[in-house]
Amino acid sequence: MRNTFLFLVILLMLSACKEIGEFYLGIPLQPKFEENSFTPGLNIFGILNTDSTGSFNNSFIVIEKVLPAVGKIDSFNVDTVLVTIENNNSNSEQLFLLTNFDETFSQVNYRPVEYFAPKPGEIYSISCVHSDFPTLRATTIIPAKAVLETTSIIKQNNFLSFEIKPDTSIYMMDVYCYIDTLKPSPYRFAAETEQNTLIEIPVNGNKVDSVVVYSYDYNMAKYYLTSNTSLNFNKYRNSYSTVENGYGVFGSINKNCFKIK
Amino acid sequence: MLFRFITIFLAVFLFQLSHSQEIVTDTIQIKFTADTIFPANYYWQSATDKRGVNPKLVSYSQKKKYILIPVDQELCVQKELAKLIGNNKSKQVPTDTFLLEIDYFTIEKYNGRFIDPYVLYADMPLKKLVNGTITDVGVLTYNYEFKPYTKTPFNIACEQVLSNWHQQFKIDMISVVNYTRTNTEKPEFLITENFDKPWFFNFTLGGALGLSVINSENDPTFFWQLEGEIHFTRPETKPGQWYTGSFIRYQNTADFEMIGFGKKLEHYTKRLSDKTLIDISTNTLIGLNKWKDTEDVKLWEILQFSLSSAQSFNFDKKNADGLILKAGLFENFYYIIPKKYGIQVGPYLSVGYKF
Amino acid sequence: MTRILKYILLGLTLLFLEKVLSAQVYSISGYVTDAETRETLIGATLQLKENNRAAVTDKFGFFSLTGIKKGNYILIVNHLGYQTKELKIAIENKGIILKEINLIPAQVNLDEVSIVAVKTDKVADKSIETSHIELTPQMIRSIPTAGNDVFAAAKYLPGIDRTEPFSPLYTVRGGDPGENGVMLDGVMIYNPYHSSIGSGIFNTMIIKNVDLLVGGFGAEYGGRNSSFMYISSKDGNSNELHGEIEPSTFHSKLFLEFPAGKNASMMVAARYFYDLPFNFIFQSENYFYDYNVSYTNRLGDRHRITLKYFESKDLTGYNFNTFYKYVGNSINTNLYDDFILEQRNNWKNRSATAIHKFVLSPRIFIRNQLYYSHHRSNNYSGLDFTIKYTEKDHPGDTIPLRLFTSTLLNSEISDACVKSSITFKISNSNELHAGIEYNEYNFHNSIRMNDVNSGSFNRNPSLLAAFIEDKFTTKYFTIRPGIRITNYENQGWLYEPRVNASLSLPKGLKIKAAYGEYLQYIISMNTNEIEMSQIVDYYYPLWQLNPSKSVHYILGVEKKLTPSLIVSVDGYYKEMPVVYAFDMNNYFGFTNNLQKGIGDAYGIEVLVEGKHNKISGWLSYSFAKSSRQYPNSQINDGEKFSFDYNRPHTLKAVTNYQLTSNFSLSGSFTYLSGTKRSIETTTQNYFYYDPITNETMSFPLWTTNDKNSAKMPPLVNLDLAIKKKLLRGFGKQLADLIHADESYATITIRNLLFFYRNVEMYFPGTGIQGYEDKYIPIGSNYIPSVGASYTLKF
Repeated sequence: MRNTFLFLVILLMLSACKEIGEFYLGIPLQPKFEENSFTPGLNIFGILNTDSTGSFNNSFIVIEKVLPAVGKIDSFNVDTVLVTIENNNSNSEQLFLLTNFDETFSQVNYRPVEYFAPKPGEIYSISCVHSDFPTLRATTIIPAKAVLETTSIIKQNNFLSFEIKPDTSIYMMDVYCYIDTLKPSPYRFAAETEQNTLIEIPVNGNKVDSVVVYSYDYNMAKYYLTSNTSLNFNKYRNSYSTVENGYGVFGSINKNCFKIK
Repeated sequence: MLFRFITIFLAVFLFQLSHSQEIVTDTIQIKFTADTIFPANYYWQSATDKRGVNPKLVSYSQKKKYILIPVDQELCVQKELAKLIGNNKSKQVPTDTFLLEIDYFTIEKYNGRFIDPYVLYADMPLKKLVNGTITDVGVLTYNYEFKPYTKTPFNIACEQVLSNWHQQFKIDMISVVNYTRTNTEKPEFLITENFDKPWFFNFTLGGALGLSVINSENDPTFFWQLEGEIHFTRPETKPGQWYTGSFIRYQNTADFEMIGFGKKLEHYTKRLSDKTLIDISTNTLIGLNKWKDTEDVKLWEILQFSLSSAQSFNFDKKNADGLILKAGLFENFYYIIPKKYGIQVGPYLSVGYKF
Repeated sequence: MTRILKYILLGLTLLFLEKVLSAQVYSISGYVTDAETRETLIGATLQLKENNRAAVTDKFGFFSLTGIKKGNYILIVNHLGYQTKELKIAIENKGIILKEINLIPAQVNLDEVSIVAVKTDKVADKSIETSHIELTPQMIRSIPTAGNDVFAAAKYLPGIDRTEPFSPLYTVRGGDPGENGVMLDGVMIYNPYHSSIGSGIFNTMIIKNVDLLVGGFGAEYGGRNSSFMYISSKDGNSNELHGEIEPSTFHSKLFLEFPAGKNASMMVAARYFYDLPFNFIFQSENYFYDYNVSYTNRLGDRHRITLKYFESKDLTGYNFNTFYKYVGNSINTNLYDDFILEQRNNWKNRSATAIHKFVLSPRIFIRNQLYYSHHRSNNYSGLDFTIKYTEKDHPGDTIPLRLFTSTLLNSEISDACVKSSITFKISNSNELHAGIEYNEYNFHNSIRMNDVNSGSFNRNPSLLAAFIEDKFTTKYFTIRPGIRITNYENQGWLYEPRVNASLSLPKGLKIKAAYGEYLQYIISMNTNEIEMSQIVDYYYPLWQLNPSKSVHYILGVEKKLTPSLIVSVDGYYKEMPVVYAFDMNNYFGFTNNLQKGIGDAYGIEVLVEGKHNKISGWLSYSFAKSSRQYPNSQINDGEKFSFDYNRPHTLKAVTNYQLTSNFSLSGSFTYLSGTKRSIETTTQNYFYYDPITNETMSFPLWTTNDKNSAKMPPLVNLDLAIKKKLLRGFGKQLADLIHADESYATITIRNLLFFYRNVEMYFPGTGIQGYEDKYIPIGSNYIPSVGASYTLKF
């Protein structure tokens, strides 16, 4: 009697799945999609940098594509893209080519072919043309240099604090403190656009020589401050995009350096 | 899909119901014929069962059904146990009249590392009727060991234990009668101290400090450890005793800290005097290591296996609540997969309380 | 406002009328208690033998019988599990406040053991709450996987479902988790959960009774739109010392109750949980504790004063760095050397309350309460991982990979409240209940994402609320209209009308209906999309915004199949004209991301509960649908979507089979159809930029633009438990040592249907050979497991 029941139970359990091994691995248990919208497109990381001295040219564009989440393994790389940067103020165009410019930079990216130094307040548009993908377009306004409120510097044993004046073109700042020429670690702040932004940095009793503040435009701020990068699964997470007809970010950066006395 | 789940659920449920009766406490009858061969010089006025359980019950045993379901089995005799034990009605002259109570009675298998006998534990207060007044004689205390042939089923073994013990009991009664008449030396199984419990609870906390003498890694290094232990002991009825306890050990060595639990810390004690005894203990343990240098530690090296022993001289009052003090030597061998090992030796001190 | 005035006027008129009409009749009132512990008994029935007038004790154990003329009577007092008591009462020319009526516990007959208490008495049936479920400690303990936790047990009831896989939060009838209120003896407790084991902070040993109001609840309860859980804790034994201990390797529990002077009693309960393997091997620090202290003084027959204090703390610090280091060493790679994965939670709850219960006259019962409840939580989770990855095909080419993500959420709530309520038994068929309460809150919230401050604020709102409800009872029909009025932050008065009704028909049939409007001023942020797992409600006070609102329409039918078996069917429709959500994917700060939307939920629930022979338990099925829409937001592009935790079909069963007095078997089964989840469709490299070196690093992340676009497979669970009395061995010896009255072992066998993997999440199986077009499921409860514990009661 007992064995019959045991047999029955096991039989029922087994009959519930065709191939136990597979079932146990959970393979047939697939989610049922009601909407599955994968839109192919280019994924860029473009940054226009005002810091272009001499032959160094720090502006560059990384261009990749996005992939469907499932499918055969594929590379993010794409064939050559025609990248044009247009200065909206002067209507002049600048071509970016895939180059290892001057062998100064280790990464192979799209870089300007001639001297290129954007100035604060200028508006630039990008267009990336590729035959397989829709043409990607985006615009950035070059941010101003961050301006220190000189009266606001407070040096305490463990903290250094100061304020940065508001500017409508600055949305995010990275602050590096040079402490006895050690490689500094960055502190990131969302910039206030109407009042001074308070910057507080832990220094652990060290003496700070100088502070470098990088200011970013709206696009970069949106990309870094509102993107959901948390490592969790099956949660609603929009694709990262501040551009039209594609993915990624096209932004700009400015730099300022202060001596701390 | 839903239908399939429901079918399975119902099938399991029905299975559970149809077999659940077997899972309930079983009753196993054992034969116990009270022995009447010995002519005795005493008379039982009464024998009462004060255990508050089924009066026919001798002991519980437990077995596992379907691997993990513990099922209690009641081992019962055909008549009330008290009546079977106190069946001697011979009224020869001169007779002494006694009253027997059963406070505690059970048979268990002692699963030791070195010995594994069946033990009958019993506490039976004995009273004597003299000129119409009842006087306390003491508590007949038994830790009666018996080793049947291996592979004897539990119930058969219990039968054998019970009948052998009963013969011993009758012999013992003769010496008790003598003791009550002439006030000769008190038999060891008759305990007159008053403690109203079948088991003593022992708690000890000890420490050891020593050297890792043989070591797979480097030269001898220091180690120290703390160890807490609890165990139950029976009132002592003979000089040598075996018992097991549970313990938790924390060890700090040059390379790692270790914490481990062990369920079988086996002791053998030999009593020297009413206040002192010698204690030899052995144990095995699986411990968790916290490495001080995590640089090259592999995942499996968080486990260690160890085998240790301690020999100590104890201050421990016989059959009484009170302080326990231990001093002795501790030895330990540990092994960490795949090839780290060591032998540790050191002095050992411990303080505890028995109540 | 004029409508409110009308209500109040109507109430006053009724009051006056009743006073005039009932000039020559009197009342009897008092408390009913357990004779052994003097703990008050909830739901005891009292009946006059002569005229069948009857009453039931309320959640404070108090009753009031009115409309009694002069004369001699016999009062019959009944309660499940107690011996019936008869008292002789003589009414002369005034009402009587009786001394405590002590009921003696009945000898437990094996056939009467039941895990659910179906009220077999006719009078107790007159409760008119539609969606009201009672959870007793016995029910909680009989659910194998509930682990003696009230929140885990509640999830076995219809309409109450789990949210995220590793979260203790729950959702009721399509409502947000933050819309559930939990009260411990009238004190609002915020986030009553432990982080480390995902269970509740209430020790089952202290619980006397749990009332779950899952919809259509009366005007007494306010400030939450979805449900209320009202937990009544024990006052302590005023006759002798009793207790319970549960020692184990990873947690220990203790409960003591004892008399504290004449007419006073105390109760102390504590739990401590420690995660030894993690603390020791992987150098993390995890523990939690909670404790309750209660003091009750019975100052004469009229006054009772209770003081209660409750505190819990959780410290979780999962640091996986050492673990990954060991893994790296084991497989000979230094990939994990710079791998930092941490989770740190620091939670604390404290509450203190003073309660004064006062019997003003045999008809009037007053309850005054003062409480302070405080919650603080600080949750950090972060991952920082950088490697130089070398492709096999291009050995010289290294690709720098980096993923850095972290969230730090802080929430601090303090709630100070003073409240008072009055119950006035106007006549035997008319009971007025009214109250007023004032809350002074303080909220502090802050968020830090990826090491950037994303805003913080401090707010101190206040809330003034009053309610009145009147229960009219006739032989077959009961109706209870009520209204709650609230004023939040002096923004003006808003009203919430509510009505409950029930109609008793022959053959044990009963029809119940409820309508109610509910307002919530303090909402909870849903952080599921940014946190690894949301395990706490971040309460957020609305500021110059309309409160979130929901309207409940409920109709239920109940039928008694046998005296101890009941079947009920509840249908509900819940309209949510105002709901709020934080758009966590477009996050720049606090207020400007609060999105206003609408929602609805409807469903039907069938519940069979009771006992048959030696089997007791319940079986429930529910069908539910729920949706949300945030029209002017980027959330799902403003389109309507299925609510996150909506499970259309659920089947839940809990059974207990009492085989002998020493041995019982219990089992629980759940079938939950799959929820909607946002399954990832796109892989996109996310870039990190270093302005000093001017280099980038990236990490592939999965994204989707459709919210709740795919349906997950169902979850199926079957668990069993065996509870047996200890008869031998170490546990029995320990029990004998402390003179335990009752000692038992519980063995839990979890997840028997392990062939059905309980899939919780997926990740895309990109490129893995043979699985190119598959999502790889990550499940919990793969393997059946067995657990054991001892309980010693003395």
